[in-house]
Amino acid sequence: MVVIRLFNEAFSTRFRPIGLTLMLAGLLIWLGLVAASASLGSFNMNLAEVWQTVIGNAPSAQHELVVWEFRLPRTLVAGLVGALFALSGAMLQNLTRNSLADPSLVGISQGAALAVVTMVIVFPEVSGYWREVSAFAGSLLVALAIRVVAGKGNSLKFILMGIGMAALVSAITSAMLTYGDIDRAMSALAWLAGSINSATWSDVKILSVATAALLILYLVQARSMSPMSLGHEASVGLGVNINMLATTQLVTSVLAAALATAVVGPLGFVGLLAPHITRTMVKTGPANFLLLTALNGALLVLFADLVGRTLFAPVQIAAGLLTSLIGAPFFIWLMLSRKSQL
Amino acid sequence: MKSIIALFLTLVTAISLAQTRTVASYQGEIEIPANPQRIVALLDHMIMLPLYELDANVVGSVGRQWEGQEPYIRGVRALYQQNFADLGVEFVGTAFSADIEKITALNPDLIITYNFGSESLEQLEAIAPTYVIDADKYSYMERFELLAEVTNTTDVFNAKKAHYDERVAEIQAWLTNPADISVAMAMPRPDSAEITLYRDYGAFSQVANDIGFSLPAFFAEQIGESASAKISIEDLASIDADYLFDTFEPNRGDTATSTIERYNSMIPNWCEAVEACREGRYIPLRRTDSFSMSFKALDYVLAQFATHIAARHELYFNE
Repeated sequence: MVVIRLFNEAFSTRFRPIGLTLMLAGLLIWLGLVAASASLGSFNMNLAEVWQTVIGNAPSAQHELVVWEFRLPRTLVAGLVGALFALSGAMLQNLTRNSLADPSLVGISQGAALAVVTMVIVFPEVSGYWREVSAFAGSLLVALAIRVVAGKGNSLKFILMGIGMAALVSAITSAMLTYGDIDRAMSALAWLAGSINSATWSDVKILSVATAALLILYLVQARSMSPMSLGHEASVGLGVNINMLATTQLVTSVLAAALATAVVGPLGFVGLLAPHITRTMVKTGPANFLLLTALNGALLVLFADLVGRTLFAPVQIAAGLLTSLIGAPFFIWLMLSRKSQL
Repeated sequence: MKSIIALFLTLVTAISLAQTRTVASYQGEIEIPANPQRIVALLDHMIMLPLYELDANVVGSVGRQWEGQEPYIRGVRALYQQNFADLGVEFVGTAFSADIEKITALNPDLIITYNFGSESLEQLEAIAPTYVIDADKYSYMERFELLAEVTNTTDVFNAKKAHYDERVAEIQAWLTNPADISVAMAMPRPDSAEITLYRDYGAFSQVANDIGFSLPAFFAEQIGESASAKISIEDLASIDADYLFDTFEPNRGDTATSTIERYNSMIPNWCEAVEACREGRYIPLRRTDSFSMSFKALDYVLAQFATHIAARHELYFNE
C-alpha cells in the first residue's frame, strides 16, 4: 500500500498495489497507442521515420509537417479531452450519486453545440477562436440554468432537469440547422460530430494547463468523494461541508467538459463509459479511481480517433461518432442492469 | 538547334512554374503559384467540377460516398459520367471532412476551399497556399471567374462564358419581355411539412437572372435578402410563380415523378392548389445538373428554359 500525505495531511490518499499496477499498464497502453497514432495514417511512414522526425532528422519536410503539426497535436489533444470528459463524468456521477450522469446527459455538451451552431450559422465571419470561446460560455450557461432550475433537489431531479434542458437546447440547435444555410449547416454538423482533426499545438497548450490544474482540484476533492457517495446525511455526519463540496464538484466537472467540448465538439458517452470501466477493473480509493478514470478516458478517445481516421481513410469518421457507437449500447445495458437504482 | 530550342522552352516553362502572384483571398492577400500544377479541391460540385471544365491541373478532390458505393465527384459524375480514376484525381475524403494527411501526400501547390469549409485553415496553409472563396461576397458567376483566375485558366473561362452569353441572348430574343414572366424554384420537405423557396439556387438562379425573369412576389416577400426560406405546406396556394421548378436526385433513387410523390405525401391533389401546376407549368429538373457550378449545368438550365418557357410562353400565353 502506498500512502501519500501532502500539505499537512490536507491532501492524503492511498494507492493499492493493484491500482498502481493498472495505472502503469494503462500508461504503457497509452504509449503504445501514441506510437500507433504517430505512425499510422494516410501519409505513409514507419515508426523509424516517425522517430527520426521526432529527434529532428525528418526524412522530408512533409514528414516533419505530418508528425509535428498533425499527428502529435492530434494524439495529445485526443488524450487530454478524453481525460477531461472522463473526469467530468466521474465527478458528476459522484455529485448526483447517479451512475447515469454524463456531460452530454445533463445539457453541457448541448449548450456548447448551440453556441457553436449559432456562431457558424448566424455569425459566419467570426473566427474559430471565438467559436471555442462561445462553446465554453454556452456550456457554462446551460449548466448554470440546470442548477438554478433544479435547485437543491435530489440527484434524479438534477438528471431529469438536465435531460429536459438538453432536449430544449437541442431543439433550438436543430431549428437553426434546419433553417440555416445548407453549406454552413453541413460545416456545423462536422463540428457537432466531435472531431479532433483540427487539433493544433495551441489547443495542446491550453488543454495541458487546464487538465493539470483541474486534476489537482479533482484530487483535492477526492478525499470527500467517499463520504459524499454515502449520501447527504452521512456526509454531514462525517464532517463534510456538503454545500461547498457540491458547488466545487459541479463547477470543476462543468469546466472540464466545457473546455473539452469547446476544442473538439461533443464526444458523447466518454464521461459515462470511463468511470464505469474503472469500476469494473478495480475497487480502489477515490484518488486512484480518478487517475485511472482519466487514463481510461484518454485511451478511449485516442483509440476512437485512431480508428476513425485510419479505418476507412481517406474517409474520416469523427471520434465522437465512434464513442457514441460504443457508448449508446453501454448506456442501455446500464439502464437495464441498474433499473432498481433509478 | 533543336536542343537549344528545347532548352529554351524548358527554361521558360520552369520560370513560369516558379513564378508566384498575389491574390485577394477570404483571409487576406496570399501568394499563389502563377500557374498552379497540383491543385486540391475541397468541394466537389462547386470547385472540382468547374476546375474540370476549365481544364485546371487538379491532383486531388473531396467526393461523396454512400454506403457500399465507390466514391464519386458530385457533378462530375452526373454531368460527365467521369470518376476519380478517369480523371487521374485522388480522392482525399468526403466534403467537409477531408483527410489532411492525404492532401499532404499529394504535395499540392494550391488548395482551394470555401469560407464555410470545416477543415482547419491553419493546417491547410501549412501544406500549401490556400485560396478561400468568400461565398457571401461573390455571386455564382463571380466565384466561377475567380476559380479561373487563381488557376490561370481565364482564357478557357472567357471562351465558355462567351458561348453561354450568346445562348442567353438567343432566349432573350425569343421573349417579348422576360421580366413579365416569374420563375421560381421550390422544394417540398415532407419530413417537416414545409416547402423551401429559393432565391439563390446555383446554376438555375444564375440563368433565370441572366435572362431577366422575375422572382414571384410571394417568394421575394418570404425570402427577403436570404438565399432561401421555408414556408408551411398550409401556404401552398400562395405560390404564385408562372413557372414553378423542383428537383429530383437520381443518385438517391429519385425519378422524375418523385417530386410529385413528395407533394402528394403532404397534400393529396396539391396540384389543384398551385396555379403553375394546374396549368401544366410545374417542371421537375435533375438536381445536381441544375445546381452545380458548371457551364454544362448552365446549358442544361438554358435548354429547360428554352423548351418549357421561351417556346411555350410565346405559343400559349403571350397575347
